[in-house]
Amino acid sequence: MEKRTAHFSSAARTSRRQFLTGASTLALSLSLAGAVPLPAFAQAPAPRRGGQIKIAVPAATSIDPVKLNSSGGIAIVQQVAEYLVYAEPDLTLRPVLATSWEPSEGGKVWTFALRQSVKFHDGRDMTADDVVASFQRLVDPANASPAAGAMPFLKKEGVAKVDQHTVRFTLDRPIGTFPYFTHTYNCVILPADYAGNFAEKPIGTGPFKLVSYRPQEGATFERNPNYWDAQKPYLDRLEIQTFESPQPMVLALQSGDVQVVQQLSYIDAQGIRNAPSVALIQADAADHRQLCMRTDTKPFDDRRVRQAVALCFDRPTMVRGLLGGLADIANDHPSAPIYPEKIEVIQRQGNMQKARELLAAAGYPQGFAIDLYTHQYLELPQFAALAQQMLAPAGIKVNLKIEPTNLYYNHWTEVSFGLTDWTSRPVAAQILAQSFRSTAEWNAAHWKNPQFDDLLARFEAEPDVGTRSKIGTELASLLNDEVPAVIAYFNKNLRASRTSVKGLTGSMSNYLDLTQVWVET
Amino acid sequence: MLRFFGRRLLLLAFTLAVASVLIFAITNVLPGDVGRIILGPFAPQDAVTRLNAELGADRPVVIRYAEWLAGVAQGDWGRSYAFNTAVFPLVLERLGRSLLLAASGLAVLVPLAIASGVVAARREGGIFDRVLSVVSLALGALPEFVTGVFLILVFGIWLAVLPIQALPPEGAGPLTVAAHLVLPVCCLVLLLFAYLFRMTRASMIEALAADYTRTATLKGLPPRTVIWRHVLRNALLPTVTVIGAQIGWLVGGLVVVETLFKYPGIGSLIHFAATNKDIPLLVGCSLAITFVFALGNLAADLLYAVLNPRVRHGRNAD
Repeated sequence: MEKRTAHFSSAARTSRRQFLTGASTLALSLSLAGAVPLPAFAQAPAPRRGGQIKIAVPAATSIDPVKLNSSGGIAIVQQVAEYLVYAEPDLTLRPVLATSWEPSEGGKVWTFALRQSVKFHDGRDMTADDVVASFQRLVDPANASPAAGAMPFLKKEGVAKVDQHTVRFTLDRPIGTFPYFTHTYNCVILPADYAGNFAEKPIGTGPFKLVSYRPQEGATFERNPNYWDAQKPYLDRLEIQTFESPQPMVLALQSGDVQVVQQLSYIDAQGIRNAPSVALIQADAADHRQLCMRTDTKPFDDRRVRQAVALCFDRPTMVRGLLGGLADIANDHPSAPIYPEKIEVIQRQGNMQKARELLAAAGYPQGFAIDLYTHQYLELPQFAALAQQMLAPAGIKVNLKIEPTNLYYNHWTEVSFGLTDWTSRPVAAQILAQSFRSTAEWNAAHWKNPQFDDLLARFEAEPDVGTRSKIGTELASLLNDEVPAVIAYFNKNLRASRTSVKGLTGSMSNYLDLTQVWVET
Repeated sequence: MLRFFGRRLLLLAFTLAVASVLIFAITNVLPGDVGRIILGPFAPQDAVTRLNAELGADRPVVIRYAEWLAGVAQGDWGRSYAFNTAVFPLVLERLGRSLLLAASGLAVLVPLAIASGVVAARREGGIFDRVLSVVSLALGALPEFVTGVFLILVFGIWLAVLPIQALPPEGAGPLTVAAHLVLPVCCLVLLLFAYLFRMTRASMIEALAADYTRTATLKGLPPRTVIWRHVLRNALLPTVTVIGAQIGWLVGGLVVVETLFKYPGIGSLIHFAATNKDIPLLVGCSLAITFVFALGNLAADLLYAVLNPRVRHGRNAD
C-alpha cells in the first residue's frame, strides 16, 4: 500500500492489448481520447552507454530492505539489490538472480536454480547461502518485516540450500504462483551476513552501487562495473531525490531538474500531459479502493443492505469524475483484468430503485445514518464525498470522517464503513487472501465464508491458468453477490519522464527498473 | 546586564526541560503506533509488536523519558526510529541549513521592510504609501504555496534563470549557494513583508506625531538626525520584538517553503517526526528549535535594551 500509486486508465480495451504486446509508452493525450497509441520505442536506436539521470520519487523512511515499506525507500533499494525474478509490465517473469524454477508435489515445493558468477558489490560471490539467509531473515518471527504478511505460507525452516546454486522452498500448502511472491518488495537478495545497516553498508548485486543516502533528500548511485549482465546498466550515474509532496516533483520535471518522476497521480499529471518534452508512461495495475462494510454489525450484517449500497454507485460517473475517465470499471471483486485469469461475472450497474427495495426489505425503508471513515490520500476524500452524494437518494446519510493516514490505519479494520486504498499485488490470490479470507488480519469487512475459503485454497494451489480462471470466476461471483466491499474501479499507474530518457517502462507495482534505461545526447 | 543575561540563560534551561517533558507527554497520547507506521498498514501485527519492542516504544513513557534524559546528559540524543540514524548530527545539519535560510531571509527582509516603512510613514497617504500598503497586504495574504509555485513557474521554468531547488550541489561555491536561495528567500520576503512593513509604518507615524519629535524638530535639529536619533529609535521597538518572536517560526516552521523548494531543513524534519511519531527525532528537533527561539528572543531583548535606555537602566536599578 505504500507503493504509492497513481491511476490512469484508458477506457479503450485496445490500449490494454497494445500494452500487453509490449507498448507501454503512450502519449497521454492519445490515451485520453481512447485512441490506439503507437509504441514510442518501436524503431528506437541502439541504447547509448554513459550519462546520468535524476529521478523524483515519493518520500522514503527506512531503507533497510527487511523493514522497507515506503515507495521512495523501495525505489532506492531496487537499484542496489535484486530479486530472484522480476515481473514485467505484462506480468511475465524475467529471470534475474534465479535462472529457472520448478514446482513439485503439486506446487508445495519450489526449486530455484540460481544464476552463477553473480558478485555482490563487495566482490563476494552470490550463492545459495545468501538466498536462504535473505528469505529466512524476512519470515523469521524474530524479525519485524512486512514481507512475513505477504508470505504466510513460508516458514523459516522451509527455506533450504540444495547445492551452491540451488534453493528449495517448502511451503505449508501448495501455491501455484509462488515465484511471483519472491518479487515482494522486501525480498531482495542480500549477503548472508547482512546486519540490518543498509544505509551504512549497502551491499547487493544490483546494477548500481549506493554512494550516499541522506534522509528526506535522496541517494546517489554509480554504475556497478561488475554487473552480471555485462552490457548493462547503460547509465554511469544516477540520483534519486525523495519528495515530500507531488507538486514539487512535477515542477522539477518541467524545469529539467529531474528527468523522471517515478509515480504521479492523475491530478498531478494534469499540468504536464500536453508538455512536448514530457512522456507519460502508463501501466495497467490492480490498484483499487475497497469500500468495506462490517458484515458482523448492524446495518451491514444484512447482505441486502450491502447489495443496496453497491447498487447506489454510478461507476462510469465515478471513473469520469474522480479519474478523468482513466480507470477500468470494477465489479466488487479485486481480480483486475491485468491478471492472466479470465473472470466472467455480469457487471453490476447502478440501480436506485432496486437499492431502495432491498433496503426496505432489510428493514431500512427510510435508510440509516452511518459514519464513513477514510484518509487524506489521493482521490479517497473525493471518493468519500461522491459516495455521500450517491448514497443519499437511498436514504443513507453518510457522515464523512476523513482522517490523517496514520490515524486511519490505526483502526481501519475496526470501523464499520471504511474506504481503503489497495495497491497491486503480482498475483490475484494475494489480494483475495489478504482482504477476504475469514482469518485474514485485514479482512476489514469481518466477512467469513467457508465456501470462499475453500475455493481460495484451491485457487492459490492451482498451477493451471485455465482452471484458475474457473475458480477465480466462482470467487468473484461470491464476492459480487455477498458484497463485503464495494470495488468500483481499478486504477492505473502513471510515470513521467523527459523525452530524452529511453527504455523506461511502467510497472504494476510502481517498481523502478533502470537496467535498460539510457539517455539521448 | 550580566545578571540579566544569566537570569535569561537559567530561564532558557528551564524552558528546555519543560519542553522536553511536554513533548514526551504529548507524543504519548498522540494516536498512531510507531511500529505500524514504519512497517505500513499491511505488515502483520506480530511484526509490529516485535518492532515496537525492538525500538522500546512499548515501555512506559516515564522510563523512556528517564533513559532519554540520561542519554542527553552524556551527549547522546538517541536514534531516529524511522530513519535509523543518530538524531544529533541529523538535527544539527538541518538546523544549520534552516538558520542559513532564515538569516538570508531576514537579511533581505528587515532592511527592506524598515526602509519602506520609514519612507511610507514620512509621506503618509502618498502614492508610495498607498501602493505599497495594498500590494504588500495582497501578497502577504497569499499562502506560500501559491507565491512559491508562481515564483518557480516564472523564474525557474518560463524564464529559466534561477534554480528551483534550493539545495545546491555538493561542494558549491558561495555564489551558487546564494543563487539557489534566491527563490525561497523571495517567497519568505513576500510572505512577511506586509507584517513588518505595516508595523514599522504604524510606529513611525505614531513616533513622528509624538511630542519629543516636535521638540527635536523645533529645537532646530536637521530632519535626518531627528529621524535617526529620535523617531526611528522609538519606532523600531515593537518591530524588534516582532522579529524576535518570528525567529522560532522562521527556523522551525517553514515546512511548506522547504517542501516546495526541496530544501530539507529542520521544519520538514520535525514535521516528519511528528507525523511518524518518531519521538527521539521529534524531541531532538523541538529542543533545537526551542533553543533557537529562546536565543532569538534573548537577542531581541538585548537589542531592545540597546535601543531603549529605559529598559537597561530599569534592569540595572534592581
